[in-house]
Parts: sequence; C-alpha cells; structure tokens
Amino acid sequence: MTIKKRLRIICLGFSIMPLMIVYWLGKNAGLAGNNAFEHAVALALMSSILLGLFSSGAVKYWFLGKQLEKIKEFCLAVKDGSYHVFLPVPNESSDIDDENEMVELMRTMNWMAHHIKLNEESLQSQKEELEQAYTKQLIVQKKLENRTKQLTEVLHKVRNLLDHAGQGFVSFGQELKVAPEYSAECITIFQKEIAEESIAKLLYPLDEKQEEFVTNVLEKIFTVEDNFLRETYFTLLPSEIAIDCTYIKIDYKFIHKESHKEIMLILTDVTEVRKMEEQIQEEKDILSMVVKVVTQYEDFSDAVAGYTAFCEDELPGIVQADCLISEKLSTIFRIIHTWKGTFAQLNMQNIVKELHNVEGELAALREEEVIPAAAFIELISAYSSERMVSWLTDDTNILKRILGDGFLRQHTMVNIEKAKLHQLKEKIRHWPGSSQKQEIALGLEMLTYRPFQDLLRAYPEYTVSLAKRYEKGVHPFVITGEQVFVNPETYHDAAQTFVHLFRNAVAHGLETMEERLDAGKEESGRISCKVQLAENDILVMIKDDGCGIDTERLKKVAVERKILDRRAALSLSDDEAMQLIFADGFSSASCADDISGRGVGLYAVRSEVEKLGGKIEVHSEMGVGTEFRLIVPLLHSI
Amino acid sequence: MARVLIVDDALMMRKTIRKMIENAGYIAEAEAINGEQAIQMYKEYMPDIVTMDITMPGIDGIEALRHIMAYDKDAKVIMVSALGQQYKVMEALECGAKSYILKPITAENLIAVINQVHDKSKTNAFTKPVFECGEGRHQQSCDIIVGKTV
Repeated sequence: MTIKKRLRIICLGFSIMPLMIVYWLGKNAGLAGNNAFEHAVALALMSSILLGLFSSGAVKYWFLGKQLEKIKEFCLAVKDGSYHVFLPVPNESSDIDDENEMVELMRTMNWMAHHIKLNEESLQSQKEELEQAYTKQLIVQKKLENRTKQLTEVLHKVRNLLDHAGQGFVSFGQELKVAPEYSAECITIFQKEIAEESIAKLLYPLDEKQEEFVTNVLEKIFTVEDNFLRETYFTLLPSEIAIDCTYIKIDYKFIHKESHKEIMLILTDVTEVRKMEEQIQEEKDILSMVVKVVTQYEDFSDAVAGYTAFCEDELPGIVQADCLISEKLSTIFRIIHTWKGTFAQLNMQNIVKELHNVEGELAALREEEVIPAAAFIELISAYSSERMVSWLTDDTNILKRILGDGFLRQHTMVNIEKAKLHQLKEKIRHWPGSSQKQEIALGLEMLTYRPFQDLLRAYPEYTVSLAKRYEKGVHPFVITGEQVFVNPETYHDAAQTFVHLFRNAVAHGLETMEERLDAGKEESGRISCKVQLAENDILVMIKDDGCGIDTERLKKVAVERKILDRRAALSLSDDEAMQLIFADGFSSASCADDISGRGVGLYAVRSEVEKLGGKIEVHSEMGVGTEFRLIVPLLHSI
Repeated sequence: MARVLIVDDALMMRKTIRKMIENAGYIAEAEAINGEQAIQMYKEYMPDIVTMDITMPGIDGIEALRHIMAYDKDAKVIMVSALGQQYKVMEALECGAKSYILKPITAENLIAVINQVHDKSKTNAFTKPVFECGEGRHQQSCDIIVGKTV
C-alpha cells in the first residue's frame, strides 16, 4: 500500500471521528430529527470525506515532498552507474531544525554513493592491472606455443634422423629398464615395443645365466665411481648378440650429467656383413686348404691313406678287440683326436668339423662312470667307415674342383692346371684387405716354383756332347745338391747364360785326352755342377778338373785386345787378373768358333747374376782345375 | 720404474710377459708358477703390479688374488684371462683386481693396461680421482668404451 493511501485512511479517520461524536452528542441532546442539525452534520460529513480524500496528497508533499523526488533521481542515477550524484543536505551541525530522518537518510545515501564510487575506482584500476597481466600472459603463451612448436619440430626431425639412421638407439637408467624414447629400428631388431623392458632380458631372452651376468655388470657400471674400473666393466659386456638369426653389434655410451647417470646402446644390424665375412672366410679356408695340401702334399697323401686305413681296418679291429669298453673308447677317442689335429694342420675344414663332433660324443660317453655297452655300440654303428671316409671325400672333391682333375701325385711334385692356378690367384687378389692374403698368395705363387736344377737340366748332356765335338773326354754327370725351389721366370735368363760356364769348362778348362795323359790325369775329365742353399742365397758350383786359368796369359790377351795397356796389365795381382775373364769383349780362345771365343760369354753371365743382386767367385789352380761359384739371392716374386 | 710380479703356470707365458714388460721398461721382479708362490712372493717382494693368470693348478688366480688383497688392500693385480672366462673376470674385479687382459696377449695391450693401472695408482696418490675431473675428461673416457668383450 502506498504512503498516499495510508495517509488518506488516516485523514479520513481523523476528520470523520469528531463528526461522529458531535452527531452522537446532538442525538443525546434531542436534536435528532432537527433538520438544520441533520443538514449541518451531512454537510460536515461530506466536507470531512472530501478533506480526507484530498488532504493526503498535501500532507505527503508537506512531509516528504521534494526530498523523495531527489532520492528517487539519486537512486536512478546510482542504478545507472553514475556515482557522481549528490543529495543536497543541510550541514550536519548547523540547522538542527531541518534535521530529520529523511535528511539523515539522504546523508547516508550520499556516503553510500561516495563509497561505491571509491570502490568502483579501485576495482577499475584492479581490472586494468588484470587486463595488462592477461595481455602479458597471452604474449608469453604465444611465445611458449611457438617454442613448443619449434621444439616439437626439432624433436620430430631428430626422431626422424634416429629412426632412419638404420641403427637402434636405446637408453636406460639405474633401474635397467628401457626408457620410452628409442628409435624405430629397435622395434625391427627386437620385434616388439620395448619401453620399460629389462635391457638384460632383451639382449639375452633365452639365456638366464647371461642375462644375470649382464645385469650384474650393468649394476656395477652404475655404482662404481672409478672411471677406469667402469671402462673395464664395460669391456665385459657383449659387443655383439644374435637375435633370431640376425647379428647385432652393440656400442655402449655412458652418459653422466650432474647426478643423472644413463647408458645408451647403439645397435647396428651387421648380419649382412657377418654373412659376407663367413662366405669370405669359407673361401679363405678352402684356399688355405688348397695351399697347405699342395705345399705339404706328402703329408696330405699319407694322411689320406692313413685315415682311410683307420676307418676301414683299424677301427673295426678296435671295436671287436677283446678288452674293456672304456679302453676301446679311450683308444678310439685318442686316434680320432690325432686325426682331427692332423687334418686341422692341413686346414681341411669339413673333416675336422665332423671329427670334432665325433670327438665330442665320445668325450661325453667317456664321462659316464659305467659305460653301457649298448650306448657304445650305438655310437660306433652310427659312424660307419663309409660315412667317415665320405667326410674326407667331401674335402678332396673340393680340392679336385679347384685344382682340376689333373691334381695328382707325381713323385713329390703336384700338377695343377695353369688356368686353375690363375683363377685361384685372381680370387685371392680380389679379397678385401687381409693379413693372410700375402701369405696365401705367396703360397700359391710357390706352387709354380720349380727346383733350380730344372733350369740347368739340359747342361750335362750338352756338355758331354760338346766335349765330343772338341774331341775331349768327359765323364757323364748329373746336377747334384739340394732341391731349391725358385720361381723359374726369375732365374730363367741367368740360367740361360750358364751355358757359357759349361762351354768354357769344355773349351778352355779340360785338356785334350793326350794332354791329360801327359799330365798324369785320367783320359776323361770331370765336370760337376752342384746347387745348394746357403742361408738366403742359392749357391751354384760348376767345377772342372782341367788345366786351370793361366793369369799371365789373361794379362797378355788383355793387352793384345787393348783392354789394358801393358803397364796396367803388369801391375795386376793374380786375383785381379782373374777378373779379366769377365771383361766385355774378352776371350782367351785363339779363334772364335761357333761355340766359343766371341768374348761375350762370361761377361753375359756376370751381367745376369749381378742383375739378380748376386756375384761370381772364381777359384782356379794351374793344372788342377777351376771352380766357378755363383751366388744369387733367393727371390720371391711377391 | 714399476716392478712386476708375473704369475702363470706356463713357462712360455711367463717368458712372453717378461719380455714384453722388460721391453716397455718395467722390471720383471719375480715369477711365480702357482697361486701359493704368488702369495708368498707378493709378501716377499711387495711388487707394484702383479699379472695373474686365472687358471692355475692348486690355488687359482682368483683365490691368490683374494689372499693378496687381504694382505694388501692397495695391491694392483691385473688378471690374465682366456677367452670365455668373463664370469671369472667379473668375480676377480669384484675381489679387487684392477683390470684384466685377454689371451692371446699382445705387447701393445698388456703394456697399455699396465700403464693405465700404474699411472692411475700414481694419480690417485696425489690428485683427485679421475671421476671428479671435468666433463671433457669424462667424455674422452666414454669415447673409448666401444664394445670390446671377452
């Protein structure tokens, strides 16, 4: 109910009440029915009602009037957010008459608006601060986002690099569990996701002992403080493992930053390399066998015969012998072991491998306290003589394939087809760098070697026939001495010139039959040729029992042929004079025939010998004979 | 110059090791042919370094190492191991061996290990241990660790 309505009720009440009292008093006084009284009361009633109805507005205006309007305006302004409004109120201390609740209210409202205004300002500044902070935060956030993006990109690139490096990168800390960040190759290697897996178990999934060992070593690596000892422990870790037929090479890196310790494994699949190495090794093994067999042909030949005899005769004999099974087993074991060693010496891979297996089985049976006869029989019957010989045949077939079907024994020499040898040499030449390469190449090269005697083999017959032409007698002879194997190509030219030595021995050394008889010698002369090895030199001694070299005559000839003047010739010692025979253009024969006397013979011999780095010595005694000693170094062409 | 005690049951190995260390300027102080002799000779000669074969008849290398370490906790013992003895090597290292070398021995490897063990013993006596040195040093040492194995 509004103030105005309430005031109206009050006014009506107050104006009608006295009239009712007057009317009641008038009635008691006997005025009831008096027209004038009745009219007066009616008029008064009407006036009171009208007054009551209309005076409320005037009363309201008088009591609240303008202030209420102003308060309303004030409140509307505040409501609209305008806090600068002010209600005019009298000074608090001065005009006490005007002070009423309304004024008090207005003053309070003024304070209220003032406080709201202050708070608003404070809030406003706080808001501004917050807005600024928010803007800054947005900038930082943006930067952060950019940086995160860049980092993600870098991370992605690094990851890409690692994933495509063809290597597995794994790291783990002291718990020995794989960290979640590892390269894609690891999944290929281990065939699964490996985060949080035990590293030792990953490396040795099927070998508990190794797994435990690796775990122990890794724990030590994390706990030891001594770098040197840590490195030593690292060397105990596997450098290569095999997982499902693949070979994985492992490199280890210890990462120690501040208090954080970590080990990184770099895993590389080296299966292809290993396979290739195995293949190369296989070829090398075969070639080593070829070289060994050819250079030690006699041993090979004996071993083949001996082993075959063992398989076919000796072994059944041992099995059937009347003795304890343990003794039989020991004997067989010992013989098999010896054959294994013998064939290993010849690098015969196949048979060695098979014999090693048999040896293993025999060894296992030997360890039993009581050897069951059945087990022994079973083991022996599993290895028939045919089977055991077939292992050898496998190796000899390889030898035949490589050396050709012409690979056969000829005295103590081996024949190999030249083309096959060339193939072998080429194979070795194309091997990747190897320390054995040189050795095997030399071994093969030596297959082409021939005894030095072979180079001289035509000379004895030639010398004898030459002597006949000179009508001199000479005993048939052969080249004696050691078999010195040489590359024939190296010594061919020198050996060719040695003809002059034999020719000289006949032409100038040996006397005629008559002269020999006169000198008290036997009719036919003796010429000999001996080859031997003196340390690293080949020594060829060609000797005759003729008249010896007359140094005085040599000097005379030298002067005649204008090689020396007389004075120089006279001053020569015997040894110096002896060297004249090697001078270019010197020949002491009185006339040149088709076989001697052109004066180039010994000069040519000396040139060729010196080309090889060798030298010639001459020992001659008048009437007793002459010996030429040719010393040439033993050269290998590799 | 450091004095070395060579322990090995094989005469050829002792000769080989002696020749290698003498060529490198070390003194081969004595040779022991088994574990018992090794312990006795260690006490007698107090060598700077011992090369100890693992497999020997009677008291083996590891047992001898235990005795020597009990007698002198600063003993510098280098184990000589054959291929496939990594478990034994591990045991020896845990017992206090300073390092090990694999047969077949080369002069280069043997002397490198002896030098390291010997230099380290000198370093430790006068300076900070290696692991406290700068990162560069550490990095360098890490680079050496690339998959060798027994």
